[in-house]
Amino acid sequence: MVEDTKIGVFLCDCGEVISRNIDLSGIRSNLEKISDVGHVTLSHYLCSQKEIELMGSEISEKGLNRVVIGGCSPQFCEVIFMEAMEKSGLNPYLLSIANIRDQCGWVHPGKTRATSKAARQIKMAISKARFLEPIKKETVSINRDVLIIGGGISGMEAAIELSELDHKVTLLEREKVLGGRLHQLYSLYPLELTPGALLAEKIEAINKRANIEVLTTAELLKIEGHPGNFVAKIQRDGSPITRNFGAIVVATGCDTQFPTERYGLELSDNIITQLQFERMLKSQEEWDKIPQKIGFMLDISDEYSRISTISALRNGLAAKRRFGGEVYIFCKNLKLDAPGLEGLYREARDEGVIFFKFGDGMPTISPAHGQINIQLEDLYLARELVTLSCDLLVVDEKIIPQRDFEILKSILNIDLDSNGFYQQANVHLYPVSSIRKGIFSAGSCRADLDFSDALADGRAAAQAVHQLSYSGKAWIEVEKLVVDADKCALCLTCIRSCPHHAIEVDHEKQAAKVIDLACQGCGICAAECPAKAIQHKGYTDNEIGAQLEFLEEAI
Amino acid sequence: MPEDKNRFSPKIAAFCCFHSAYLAADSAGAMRKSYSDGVYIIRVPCAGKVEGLHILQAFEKGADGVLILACPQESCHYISGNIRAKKRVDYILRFLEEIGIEPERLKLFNLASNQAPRFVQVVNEMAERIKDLGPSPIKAGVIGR
Repeated sequence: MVEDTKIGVFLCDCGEVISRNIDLSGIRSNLEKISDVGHVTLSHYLCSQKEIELMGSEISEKGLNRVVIGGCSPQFCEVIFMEAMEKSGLNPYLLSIANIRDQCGWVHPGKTRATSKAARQIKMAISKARFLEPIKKETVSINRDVLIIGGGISGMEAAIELSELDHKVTLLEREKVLGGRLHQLYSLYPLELTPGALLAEKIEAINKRANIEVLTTAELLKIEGHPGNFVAKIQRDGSPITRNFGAIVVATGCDTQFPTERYGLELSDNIITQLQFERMLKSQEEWDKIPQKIGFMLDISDEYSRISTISALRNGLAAKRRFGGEVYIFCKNLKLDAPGLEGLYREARDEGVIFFKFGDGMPTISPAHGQINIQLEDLYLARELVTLSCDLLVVDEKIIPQRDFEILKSILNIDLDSNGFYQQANVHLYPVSSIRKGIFSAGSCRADLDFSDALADGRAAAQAVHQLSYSGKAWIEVEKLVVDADKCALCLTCIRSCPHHAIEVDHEKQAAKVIDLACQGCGICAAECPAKAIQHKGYTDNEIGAQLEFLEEAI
Repeated sequence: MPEDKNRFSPKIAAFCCFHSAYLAADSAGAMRKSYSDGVYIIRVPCAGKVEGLHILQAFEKGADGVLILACPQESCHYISGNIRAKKRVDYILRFLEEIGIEPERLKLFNLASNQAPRFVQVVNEMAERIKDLGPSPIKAGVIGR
């Protein structure tokens, strides 16, 4: 607690919404009796321009050094009041909010009980305010250059998007040419563009832009530095290159694997994978090898895979159109969870592709005399046993992470999820962000995404990078999580528990150090630290303890 | 200290993650859903920030029950905060009975920010449970001393 706190309490009745069942003027007169409360006001709309200006002048005139708000939820008003405090010269973190509207007035019927709870909430906020400490805000410079690892469709799209946003981009590709999976695909139906044409278009766009540097046959060796200022060591054709980047986008794609044990079969001349079939469609010399009866098997390698479903529909339709014959698609239950898929399914059916759904049962696949016999219980034919024979069976594959994910993971110091793909910071909210600030992932290296999603993902990652570094500057809260070097025993608990890998060892001070730009303020390190060497400003032990004191009071 | 079950209104310290439960509580208010007024919502940035010390301190100060409300599993705003919170609660539960507090008084729930009805349900069920248990033995101890 700092000496002589002078607290300003600002109550808001939110246009008489709060005062309907809370006696704010009664609370106000009680608050005035508290010795270190220097000022109490009650206003109609505290968040209005006029009231905010008034609040600012009260703060500077009366020399208030803590602000307590009794009003709506901080999710609505916190930012507004912090700005007002900053304008009047008070550190914006010296603010404590009692949520007496959303969590009291609206909840508890009956004026007496609601009023006494609101009074307690405000007193809790005041006790917390006494312990608040200022946090300094600073700007740091961020390198605007971006490194993109992987020159597949997502990587190229991200590079083009970023270069249009005026970022200097380095596009790293392990192979000799850009394009990744686009080289293996036959069509992007219902898009009219062929993969080859799309690839040529993207490569032309990349070549045209002066601020994209393409490094083929190159690999990332090492990353040093912090978000905003990474130093990357790259190896190209055996020679090392060092570059500085502000952000990194990982777009390395995925791999596929045929799970022999799930099928109980080996691949052969007439049991092939979807990529092999795609290759047959692509080269005209192999067209005469494509037989009359083709079956596509789905949902065996995986419960469901969007990539496999889309390519079975797409290639089944293409084979039917080009070569006639019979095309069967066998699936557990067709799931059409991407835009345009329902249309593709209808089109395939209209064209004469036949679908069989085998539900939870497993079809028996037995190769015999150059043919493959498939026996299954069809869900829609009253579980009748159906026996069919195909000349060619195209099987689905498991989408698996690439082998070098583990290596890249340790180079970048990020995490993989339980399936071995790059961990997203939040599947719904931040799909392209990794656990580390400044490192993003896009395309099928983070999830089962088909081609059009991968394109969109590249753009999404580019926008996320731009959001972080567009101005070349970033705000940081200096030492929001502060480490007491005397107490720190360097046990590394915080470094291990930080979900964003934002803590490192400060070798000079022999203590842990929080990287302010990378820190996202969860406070897990402060809670885990066995020596209590870390305090999270705004949620220190004193501040939480001060609120808990009120549990002693009778309701 | 026998107390009429209906008249006893339990005090519950609810540590609410600002990215889920706190917002759920807000929308419960916006939906005008009522819950026990003995619930003290304490805002934390993440359930993983709640230390064992804070939980025990709440009991020491006279809470009849403590709730830790975290983000849904696999969808924590801070990736592993809810898992940390779970581990810590499990750790405290191991010795809570030993120090004379019924383990039912400490609970962790996962809920998302749009689950206002679940927030109300969780809080009300907790209040009911505590009403059945009666006031915290710690409080009784203080009074009986």
